[in-house]
Amino acid sequence: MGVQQRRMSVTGEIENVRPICDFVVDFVNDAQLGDDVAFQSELSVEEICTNIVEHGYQHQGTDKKIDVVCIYGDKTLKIRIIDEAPLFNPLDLDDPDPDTPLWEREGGGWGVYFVKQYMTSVVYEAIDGQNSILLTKNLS
Amino acid sequence: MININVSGHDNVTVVEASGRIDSMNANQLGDALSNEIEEGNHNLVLDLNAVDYMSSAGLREMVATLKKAKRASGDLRIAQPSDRVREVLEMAGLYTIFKIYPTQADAVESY
Repeated sequence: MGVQQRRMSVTGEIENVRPICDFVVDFVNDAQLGDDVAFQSELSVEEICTNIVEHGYQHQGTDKKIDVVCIYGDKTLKIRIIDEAPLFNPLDLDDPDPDTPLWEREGGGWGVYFVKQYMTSVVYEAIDGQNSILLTKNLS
Repeated sequence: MININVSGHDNVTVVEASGRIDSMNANQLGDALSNEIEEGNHNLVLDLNAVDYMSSAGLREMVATLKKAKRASGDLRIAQPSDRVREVLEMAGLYTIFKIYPTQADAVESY
């Protein structure tokens, strides 16, 4: 089977995060990559896109876009997420510590941490003034 | 879609959630749990058996509620989390933060 690719573009609103997740799950299921990959991809995409809407666009993304491209080939799943928010690399943030006691937990940072656990690699790039996150999962 | 059902068992309030808990609806879970604490029901059991998806937004609400419950001398205890929920709880180190029970009855009787 050759390379499969699909693209989706939506405005940067919280209501669009679910359709993006559904789009990614449909792609993974159509490529028959299994329930675990579907769950891990869905959760990773939700975490990244929610950060874009809440922190990048600060809930003002009605005239801004989120582009998602899914590619599968050579036993590798790639999901690229591009947004127009001010340039920011979420991978620069320190990972939260799972051993942190309850009263020292502030709640944030777990989303990107989960993405790093589930994906083989997570790469940030600033491309033409836009943020680009490339999620890669090797399935061999 | 998330469904939440609240029921009383003597001095314990059981909150059963089902469906998926994500960044778009996690606040509904947080509101349901917080309302119980504000009404004086400080001993909570959250049954997650029928939750098949939970992202960090759901965990954030659970941790915030646990703090509120403990400040009120109560607790938020977890009953029978599904495999997917168990996975994210473990990744976030929350298995050592929450008291987690294999059945709802065990969680209720633990108070």
